[in-house]
Amino acid sequence: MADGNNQGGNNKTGGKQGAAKQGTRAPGGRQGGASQTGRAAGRQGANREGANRQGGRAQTGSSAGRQGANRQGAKNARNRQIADGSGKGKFGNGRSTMFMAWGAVFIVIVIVAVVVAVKLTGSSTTSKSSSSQLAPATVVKDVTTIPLSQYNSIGLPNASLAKTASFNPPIEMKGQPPLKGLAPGNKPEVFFFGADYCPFCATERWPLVMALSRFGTFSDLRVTTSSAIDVYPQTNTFSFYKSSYSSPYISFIPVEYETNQPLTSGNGYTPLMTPTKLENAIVSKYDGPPYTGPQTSTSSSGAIPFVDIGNKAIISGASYTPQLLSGLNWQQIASQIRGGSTTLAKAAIGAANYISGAICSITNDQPSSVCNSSPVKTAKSNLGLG
Amino acid sequence: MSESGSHYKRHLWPYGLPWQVPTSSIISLIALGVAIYLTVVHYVTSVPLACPNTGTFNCELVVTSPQSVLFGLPIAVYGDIWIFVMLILFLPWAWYASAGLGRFGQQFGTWIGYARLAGAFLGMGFVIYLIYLELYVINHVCLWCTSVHIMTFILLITVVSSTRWSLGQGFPPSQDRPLETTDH
Repeated sequence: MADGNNQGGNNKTGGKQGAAKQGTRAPGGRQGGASQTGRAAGRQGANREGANRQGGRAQTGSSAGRQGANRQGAKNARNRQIADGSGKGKFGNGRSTMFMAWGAVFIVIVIVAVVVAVKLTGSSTTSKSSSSQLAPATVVKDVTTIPLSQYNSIGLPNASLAKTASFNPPIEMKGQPPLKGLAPGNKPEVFFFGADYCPFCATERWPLVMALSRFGTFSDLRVTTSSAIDVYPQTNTFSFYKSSYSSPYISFIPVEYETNQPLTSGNGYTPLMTPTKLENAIVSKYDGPPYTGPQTSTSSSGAIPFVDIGNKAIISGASYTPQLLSGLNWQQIASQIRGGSTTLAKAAIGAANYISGAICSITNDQPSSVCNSSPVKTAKSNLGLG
Repeated sequence: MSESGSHYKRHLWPYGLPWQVPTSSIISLIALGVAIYLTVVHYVTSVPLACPNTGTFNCELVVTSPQSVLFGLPIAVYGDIWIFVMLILFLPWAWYASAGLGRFGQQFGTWIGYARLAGAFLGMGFVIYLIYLELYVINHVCLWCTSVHIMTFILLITVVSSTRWSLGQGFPPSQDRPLETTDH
């Protein structure tokens, strides 16, 4: 019988007849012998000689035995030849490839282990230096969990408070397409452009964090201070650097483009986050007249902080004077706001209500618990947004 | 003797079905399902992202982060494409070819085998990059993504463990058994 089974069996037993039969293809005949040599080292030499002989016989017998040839048998034999190292594939033999592959897997495991271990041990270094640090949990909790009743009871700044605090509400934008493309997904977008050194940004972050926390959740908020060598020095505040924000209603895209660490040249501060082309384009287009106010001899473009609320409203500059934060540390600011009785609290909560009103104009008034509250509806109306 | 259909089937896997064949097919199918789910979640905001939010673990933050998009496409889409290609390479037919047993010759099987090996390492390399992004840039971990990362690693092990026979080179002597006892 000249089928593949018999040939395979003959390869094992090393029978000359089998070899001759399989030898209808010369390599097959040799492979049969080579495969067998792996069974016992002492027999290798003899078997290899036998294989050679069989190969030789196969050459002569190829014409006679062609009818009994089986391609499957030859294929199997070829496989064995390569697998046991006696033959080489296009890329080398199977054993060396296997060792290289397992070596590569080992390297993969080591890389993953190092990446995870460095993170867990906290020895990672940031590529850019920032003087910010993770915000104390109590500070974050105080300003992100202000009850609705407090927002409603304080409401919006009256004329007296607006004058005292130099209150500066958001500005309506008319006829602009919705802000898109800064974040993945289709949610309405809120864009913040500021810097750690800037005292007006420091002031604005408090009501901005409060308002955004009514629509979503911050993670890894950091605290920092404004520049020590600028006006309102070392105003305590949050930093959005390395923070995250999650909301079912909106996407929040913050850019803190510089730290509070002056350059040794004395001209500016060390860079922190690099805005994208689109972010730069938005600032260039909207952070200046006519959007921030009428063009005058004193009007300027590119002031920070700049907040674009879905191209429905913008904030250019702080909503109230940084003077209200002077001399207060993070916890004192948070506690005052939470308490609700000071000028700072009234200005910050009033600003948060205004920002909330602007955000509601891009969320279809969702969530209703926020957007249907009286001061938020009034803020929307005052801003000309509904 | 002709290679009739029955004869062909009789010798489909002469040494028994290697464990890598069903394992890779099943795991890649599951991974494809997860990747498709993450893609749908990315594009259809009304589809909920079933994932715990316990500080470190927050899928929504990860899948909506700026890093979740590469060259204008969500990373989940790249995952779909990769796992789909791998799924083809994990079909029993492809394994059979790369075992040097297919109808299209050993050379074809070799290329299939090396394509599978390269694809597995490519996927794992990308997984390392994504782990880096999660841990160092986004600072949050997505459990759905992690499940795909683990499945990618299992697939890599599956592919590498088959290299002695799945690069068009056939089965090693240690698996060499008389064919008469292994007919199916």
